[in-house]
Amino acid sequence: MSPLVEGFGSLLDPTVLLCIAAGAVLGMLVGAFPGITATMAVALASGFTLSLDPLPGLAVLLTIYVSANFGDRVPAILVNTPGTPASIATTFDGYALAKQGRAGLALTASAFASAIGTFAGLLLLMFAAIPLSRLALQFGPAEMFALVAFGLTMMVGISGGQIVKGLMAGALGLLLGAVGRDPITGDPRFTFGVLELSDGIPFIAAIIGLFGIAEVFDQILTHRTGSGPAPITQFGRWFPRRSDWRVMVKPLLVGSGVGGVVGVVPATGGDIAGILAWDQARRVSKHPEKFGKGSLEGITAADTASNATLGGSTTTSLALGIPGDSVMAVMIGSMIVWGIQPGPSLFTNNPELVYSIAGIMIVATLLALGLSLLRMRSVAKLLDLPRHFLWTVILIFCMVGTYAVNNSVFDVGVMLAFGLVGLFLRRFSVPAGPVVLGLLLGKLAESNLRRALEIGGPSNILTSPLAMAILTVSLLALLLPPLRAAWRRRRTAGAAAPTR
Amino acid sequence: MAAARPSAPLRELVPALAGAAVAVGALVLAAQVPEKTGLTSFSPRWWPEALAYVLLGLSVLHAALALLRPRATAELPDPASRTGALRLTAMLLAVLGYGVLWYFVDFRVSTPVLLAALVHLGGGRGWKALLVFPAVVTAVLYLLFGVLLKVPL
Repeated sequence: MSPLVEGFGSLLDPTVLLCIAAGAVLGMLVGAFPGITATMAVALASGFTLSLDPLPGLAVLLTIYVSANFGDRVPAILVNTPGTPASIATTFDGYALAKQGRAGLALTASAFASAIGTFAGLLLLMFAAIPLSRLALQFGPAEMFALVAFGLTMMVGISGGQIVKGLMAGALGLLLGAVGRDPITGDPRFTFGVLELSDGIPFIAAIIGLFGIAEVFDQILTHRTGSGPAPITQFGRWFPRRSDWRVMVKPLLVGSGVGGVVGVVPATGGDIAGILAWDQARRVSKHPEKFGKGSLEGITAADTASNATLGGSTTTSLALGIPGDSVMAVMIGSMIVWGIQPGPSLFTNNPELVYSIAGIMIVATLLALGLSLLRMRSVAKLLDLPRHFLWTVILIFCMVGTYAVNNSVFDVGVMLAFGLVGLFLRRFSVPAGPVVLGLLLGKLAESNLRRALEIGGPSNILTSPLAMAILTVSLLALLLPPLRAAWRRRRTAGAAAPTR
Repeated sequence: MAAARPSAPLRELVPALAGAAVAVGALVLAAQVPEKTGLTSFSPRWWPEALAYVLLGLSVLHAALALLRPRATAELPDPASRTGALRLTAMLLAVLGYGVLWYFVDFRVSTPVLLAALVHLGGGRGWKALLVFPAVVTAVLYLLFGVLLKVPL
C-alpha cells in the first residue's frame, strides 16, 4: 500500500476522528481565551496525550495547533485583544470593523482567510517536505551543527530587539540541555545522583512550566480588576458578498505567499507573518488609507498569512527536525517521547506518518472553519469568564497533566520550578523561546559539533560550503537587526541636528 | 506607578547578574564532572564549560549595554501589584500543601480542597465558586486521567 493511502487511511480510525473533534473544540476555546497561547495549550495537552498512541495523540495536538489559530481571532476582533500572539495583526482592522457594526463579517471573513491560508501552507508541506528532507539527508555533523545554530539564531534574531538577552536565554537553554548523560561517552553530568535527571531535564515539564505556569503566575502578579474594553455586541451581517470576495482575492494571495515563506524559516510564527503580510497588502492595495481603520483587505491578509505559517513550520520541523515555531518545539518534544524522531529519516522510516499529519491538519482546518462559522456569540460570552476560574483550571491541569507523563511527582516539582524561572524571564523581558529551543536542541548541537571536530578539527566546518553558508545566514540574522537600528538612529539624529 | 519601580538600567542589571551567577555555578559544577580518558579528545566538561563562558561573556555585555544605553520605561512589562505578589505566594503555598496532602489523602478528597483554596485566593466567593466548581473540575480530572487514561492518581 502506498504511504499516501496508508497515511490518509489511518485517519478513518474512530479514535483518531474523536481526538480531532476534541482537539478542535479545545483549540477553539483556548484560542478564544486571551492569555492562553497555542504553545501553552499544546504543552498542556501533551501532558495527557502522551498516555495515548502516537497518532491519536498527534491528532489532538495538531488540531489544537490549527484551531487555536481560528479561535484567537474572536477576542482580537471583539475586544481588541489577541487570543494568541498569532492574531496580533487581526486587531489592526478586526476591532475597527467590529466598532463599525461589522463584527459578523469580520469574524467570517477572518475564518475563511484563516482556512485558505492553512490550506496554502499545507500545499507547501505536501510538496516541499520530501525534497527538503532529501537535501537534509546529505548533511554530515558539520552541516547538522550549522542547522541547529541556524534554528537558535533565528529565534534569537526575532526576540524583539533583545538580541543579547535572546542569546543569554539560548545559552541557558543549551546549558540546561547538558544535564543528563554525555551524548558521546554516556557519563552523567549535573545529575546529583537523581535518577530522574539521567535522561536530562524532563522536557514536557519544563515547557509546561515556562509557557503555561509562568503565564498564569504573571497574570496573578499583575492582574487588576476592571481593565480592558467591553466586548462588541452588535454583529451586523455575517457572510461576505461577491463584492467582498473580490476585495479579498489580492490579500489572500499576498498572505499565502508571505505566510508560506515565513513559516519555513525556523522559529518564526504567525505573529510575524501576520504583521508582514498586513504591511505588504497595504503597499499593494488601492486603498492603503483604509488599513488600520477597518479594512477587509487588512484582516484578510493578516489572517491568511498567520495560518499559512502552520504548513511551513510543520515542513521545517518534520523535514529537518528543527522546530518551525514554538508550538512545533513542544510537538517535537512529544514525538521524541513517543519514539518518533522528526528529521530526514522520518520520511524513510515513517512516510505514512507525514501524510497522516497532513491529513489531520486538513480535517482540523475544515472542522475549525465549520466551528468558526457557527456564529460565535457563545464563544464571545466566554470572554467574561472570571480569571480565578481560569487560573485554577490551568494550574490544576498543568499539575495533573505533568504528573501523568511519567507518574512522577518530581516532574511536577520541575514544572513549578520552571514556572518560577519563566516568571523571572517574563518580568525582565527575557524571551523564553530560546531557552526551550536550547533545551531541545542542546544534545543535537553538542554531539554534532563534537563529532565534526573529532573528524577533522575546525576545518571540517570551515571547508563545508553548506555549513558555512548556513552559519553566515545565522550570523547575518543576528547582526542585521541591531545594525539596521543603529543606522536608523544615526540617520534620525543626522536629520534632527540642523533644527536644534 | 512606574515611578516607584527601579530605574531601567538598574532593572536591566538583574538578568545580567542572574546570568553571571548561573554561569559561575555551572563552571563550579562542571569542574566536579568526572573525566575519563581515551574515548574522545573532548571531556564531558568541555561543552558545559564552553557554554558557561559564553553566558558569562553575554551577561557582562548585557550589563555594559544596560548602563550605557538604558531602555525606555514604556518597554517594561506591566508592574506587579502588592496584592498580586501576596496572592501568588499564597497560591504557591497552597500548591505545596496540596503536595503533602495528596500523599496522605485520596486525590478525590485533596483536589477539591486545593481548588477551593485557589479559587478563594483568586477572589472567587459563594457556594458555586467554592463548592460546585471544585467538585466538577475534580470529577472531570478523575474521569479523564484516572478512569480514561488509567493514570494512578
